[in-house]
Amino acid sequence: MTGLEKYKQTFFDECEDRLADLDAALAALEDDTARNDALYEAFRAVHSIKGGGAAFGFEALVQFSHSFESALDVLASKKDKLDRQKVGVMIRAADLLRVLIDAARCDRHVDVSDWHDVAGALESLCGGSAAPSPEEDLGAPAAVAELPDGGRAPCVYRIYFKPYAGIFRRAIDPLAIIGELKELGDLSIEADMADLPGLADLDPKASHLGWTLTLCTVHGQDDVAAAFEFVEGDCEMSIERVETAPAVAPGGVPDGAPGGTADRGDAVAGFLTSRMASIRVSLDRVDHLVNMVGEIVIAQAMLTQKFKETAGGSFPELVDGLEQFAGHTRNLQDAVMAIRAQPVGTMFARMPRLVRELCEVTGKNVELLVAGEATEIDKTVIEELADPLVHMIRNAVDHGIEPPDERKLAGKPAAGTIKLGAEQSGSRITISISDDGRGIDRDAVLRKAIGLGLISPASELSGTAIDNLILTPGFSTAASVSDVSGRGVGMDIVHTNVKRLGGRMNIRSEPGVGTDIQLTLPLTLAVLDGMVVRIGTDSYVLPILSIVETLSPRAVRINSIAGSSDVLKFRGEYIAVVDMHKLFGQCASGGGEDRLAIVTETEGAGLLALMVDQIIGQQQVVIKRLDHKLADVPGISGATILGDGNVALILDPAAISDVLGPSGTAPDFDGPGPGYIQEMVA
Amino acid sequence: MTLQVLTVDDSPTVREMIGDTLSAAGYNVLKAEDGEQGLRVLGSNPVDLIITDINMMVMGGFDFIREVRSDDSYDGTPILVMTTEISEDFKQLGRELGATGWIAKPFDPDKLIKVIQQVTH
Repeated sequence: MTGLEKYKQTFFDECEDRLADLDAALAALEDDTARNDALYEAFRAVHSIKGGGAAFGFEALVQFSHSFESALDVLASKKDKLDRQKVGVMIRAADLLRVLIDAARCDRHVDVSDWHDVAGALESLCGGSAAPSPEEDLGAPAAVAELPDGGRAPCVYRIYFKPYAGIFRRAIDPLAIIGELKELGDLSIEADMADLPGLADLDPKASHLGWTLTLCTVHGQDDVAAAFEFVEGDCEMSIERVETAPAVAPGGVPDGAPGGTADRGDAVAGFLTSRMASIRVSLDRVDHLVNMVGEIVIAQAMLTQKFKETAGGSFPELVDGLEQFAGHTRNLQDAVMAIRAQPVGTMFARMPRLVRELCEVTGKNVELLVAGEATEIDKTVIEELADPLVHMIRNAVDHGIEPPDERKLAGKPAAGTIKLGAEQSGSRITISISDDGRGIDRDAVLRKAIGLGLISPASELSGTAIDNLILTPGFSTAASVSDVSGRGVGMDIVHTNVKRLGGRMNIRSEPGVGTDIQLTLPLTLAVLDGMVVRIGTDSYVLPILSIVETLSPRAVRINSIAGSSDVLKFRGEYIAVVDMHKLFGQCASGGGEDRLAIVTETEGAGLLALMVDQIIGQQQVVIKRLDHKLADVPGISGATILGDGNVALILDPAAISDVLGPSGTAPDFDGPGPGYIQEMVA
Repeated sequence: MTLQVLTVDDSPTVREMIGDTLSAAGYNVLKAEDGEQGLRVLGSNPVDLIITDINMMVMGGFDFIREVRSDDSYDGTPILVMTTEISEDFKQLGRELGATGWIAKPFDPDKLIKVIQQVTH
């Protein structure tokens, strides 16, 4: 990437953020108390896109953003209530804006006539006056070029500067001039090397280069021109004001105090600070960093373990030092992970609009309550989760919430409620989607599951177990899903996605009262607090968070039940026991007598006791994904390298309980067992 | 590194004022009363920047600039002209002779420092 191209990427990244802001602002429009703030936010988002677009000469984008912001401006100046129709126009306009941005990104042309209804509607919103004719000079100062704090909004200037060849004789350094411009604001530079001769003809005392500079500054054109004071007459130079540029930092709160006393210096300082508050870094670099830190964690664990094994007793200071090192490494890892974390709010912001659109289509009345937007989670998780979340919200409106009259008959308020929330607990976050609709139609689910052969007609399942059947792989692949009047459309696919992210999904539904879906996801996809255990000759890692209790050999009383798995009594309840030896084919007869039972918690399937030979220790491990050929081994979620350099597989208790199946019997594995995989990974 | 500045002016007051301003800003200041004396100072001292008056008795500013620019060893040295009148003709002549920039007299100390920083960037 060269010159402007590099900045284009940044611009398009920024557009994504602004579009998300715009969506959020438009969603807030219907709330009358927040109406003007929302209009202001929307205006700022559009305005910022326009400013950036102008710097790169995306004319269609700039023209339309201009109409759009004019309409927003007009709406803000009127005090009347915004009806659905007007909000609808704004939403369509946001769609078109997105299309135009995509077109600019791919260098495509958009036939705006396809969108003439939007343009027309915007124009009529403005009373037919505020929308500009295509010929209108976009350089004309916009109505809101003044910042709320009375400072000046930044402008973008495009400057061409090419000193004459003899400029160096006057000891003028073009770099000094560029440096001076840089002090005025944000500067991007592209060199014009058209007149640069070959090395043989190069006169080192002559100037051959020219520059195209794009300057975003709160200073006026005179200040910009002042930088060229001494070269004037000795260079080709032009300064052209492109457009008013974004003024306020993303997410910044507009300072509403009109007639503020902030002078221009403050405005500049504020602008610069806002620019410094965040930087854009390519994800590749962050991931590289994450990987390297992962390697450091492994190396540190290895070093500590080897040292303790060999010479730890003789060098207590070194042991202390290594422990400090371990602490710092952990902090480093947390800090690096935090770089990838993003608030779930970016993903939630799309939902109010989705609900509104679905309401229009279905004629239902739904209120969406959102909580916990600030909860942060790994960027990849957010990206992977966005579509499943849309799917679940769609399901909730479409299938969960009843039409208004049906709700009234059931004694419920006409408007349904969907709650979308996020909450962090330990190293996991839980995202919940709950509605007060009709709940899952268990009869239909049961019929379908039997029809698909997922369960036998003789099975007796609890209500919750039936609800969770819709998560079973293959449940929604049947052609017709319309006989399921509750949820179920593609829920198994959502479940698969969530599982791939190391997450769990759990459904609780009560007929007539509503449905509650919980997604539990790891905060990061890269590290795990693990308990290292020995099963037979191999080491395995169990996620610490899944462990409820460890039972000593004396405490373990295993009862065999014919036709089912073994059980043991734990806190007054019988829970299923999994003989890990048998499960992983370590030896046919199982392990020795002095084995331990680790009681683990699985979302959805309750408690499960895993019989292992020995607990080796607790360790933070770096998760390495298994090759896709090995990815589907039941009960295994990944692999890691232990302190001693050996590979260990990471166990997934919930997946182990899936292996057991609803009846609680552990089938034998087909195909390669974990022992084989361990060899392959190593 | 401390930059060394030569100021050439026939007015002791102006020399003093420039000297004080620049010393306070951390520059080393050499002084000369006219162009000829200026050339002698240049002959025996390394100088990073020259500030010169135009109207001087023995050798005027323009002649001084012409002399300095005829010596290759001062190729990269900025020369600022300080004068009461900055006309277009004057700028044109200054450019042709090789002056780097100009400052109006009486000078604003802050502006002087800013311009010096600008040309010695």
